[in-house]
Amino acid sequence: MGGNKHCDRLRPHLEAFLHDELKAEIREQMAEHLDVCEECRKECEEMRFLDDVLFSALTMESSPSGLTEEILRRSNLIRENPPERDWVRRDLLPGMLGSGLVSVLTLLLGVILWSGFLELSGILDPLEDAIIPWFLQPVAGLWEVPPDVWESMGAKMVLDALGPWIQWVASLASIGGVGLAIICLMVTVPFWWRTVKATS
Amino acid sequence: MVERELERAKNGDPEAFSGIVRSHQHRVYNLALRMLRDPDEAKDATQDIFIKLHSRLKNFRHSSRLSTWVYRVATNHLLDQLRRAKRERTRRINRPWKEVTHLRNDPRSEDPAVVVNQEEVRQIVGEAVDELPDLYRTVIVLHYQQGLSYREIAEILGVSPRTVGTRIHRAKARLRSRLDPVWRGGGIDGGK
Ligand SMILES: [Zn+2]
Repeated sequence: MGGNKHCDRLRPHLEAFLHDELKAEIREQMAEHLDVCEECRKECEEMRFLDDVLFSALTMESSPSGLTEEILRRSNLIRENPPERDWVRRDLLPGMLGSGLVSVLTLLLGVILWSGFLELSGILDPLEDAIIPWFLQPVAGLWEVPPDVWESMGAKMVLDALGPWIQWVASLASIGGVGLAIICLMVTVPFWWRTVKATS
Repeated sequence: MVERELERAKNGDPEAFSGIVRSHQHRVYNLALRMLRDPDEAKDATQDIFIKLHSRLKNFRHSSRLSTWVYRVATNHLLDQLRRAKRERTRRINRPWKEVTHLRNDPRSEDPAVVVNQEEVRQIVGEAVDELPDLYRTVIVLHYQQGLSYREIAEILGVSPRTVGTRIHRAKARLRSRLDPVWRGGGIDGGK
C-alpha cells in the first residue's frame, strides 16, 4: 500500500497521467505509486476503461451525401447575390452627418466673411442686395461700421491706400468662393474617405 | 500548400474554399451531430457554420491553425444554438434512461456473447454523453470523438489546458456515476 498521503496527493493527477499530459517528475512518482497501491491502480484502470468506452462509443458517422455540394451551392449563391446594403450604414451616420455639417458651416462662414469683406471694401455696395442672400443680410450688417468710426481709427486711410489691391481681390471674388468651397471639401475628405472605405 | 490554398480561398477562389469544405465538413458534421443530437439539425448547422466561415475567411489570421479556427467557429455556433434552443424551450430530446437499463452484461468482458452487445454499449454511453451539460459535452466530444489534445481544445475554447483537464475529469465523474449501475453485476475488476 502506498498510504493515504500519496493517494490524496496523486489522485488528482490520474486523469492527466492517463492522457500522458503530466510532467516527467510527477509521472514517475505516479508510476511508482501505482506499482504499490492497489486502490489507485484500480481507480486508474477504471478510468482507462471509461476512456476506452468513450473512444469506441464516440466514433464518427459518415456525413450525409451531398452536404459538401449543398454548402458550396449556398456559399456561391451568397457570392453571386450579395445581400443588399442599406444606402447608409447606421454606425457611420454620425461621421457622415458631422462632416456634412462641417462642410455647410465652413461654407457659410466663407460666404459671411467674403460678403463682409466686400462690404467693408465698399466696392460692391450697389450690388449688395444681389450678392448677399436675404437670410444673411442681418449678419452682414454686423460689418457695417459707421464711417466716423473708420475715420477716427484711420482705417479709411489704410483702406484707401489698399484700394487698388482690394479691388483686384474683389474681382477674384468668384474664384475665391470656389477656392474656399474646395478647402471646405478638403477638410471633410478624411471623413468621406473613411465612410467610402467602410461601405465598399 | 495548405497556406497557399488558404490564401486563394481568402481571395475568393471557390475551388480553394471547396477544398476547405471537403477536408473539414465530416468533422464539423459529427461534432454538430453529437452536440445537437439530431441529424437534420446537425446538417443545417454544418451548412450554417461553413457559410459563417466563408464570410469570415478574410478575417482569418494565421495566428492559429486553420482547423483550430474552424473548430472555434463551429463550437461557438453550436453552443449559441443550444443556448438559444434552451431559452426558447423549443425542444428537449430526453429519452428515459429506463429504456436502456436492461443491459446486464459487463461490457468489459471479453466473452464473445457479450461483444454482441457492443452496439448497445455504444448507445448507452452515447446517451449518457448526450445528458452531460453542454460545456462538459463539448470537451468530451472534442477529445474522444475528434481526437484533439487538451492543448488544442484549450485553444479552441479560449481557456487553459488545465481547465480543459478539469472539465474532462468532472465530465467523466458524471459519466461514471451514470454508467456504473448499468454494468455493475460483473463487479469492477479493472477490465480484465
Ligand atoms: Zn494510492
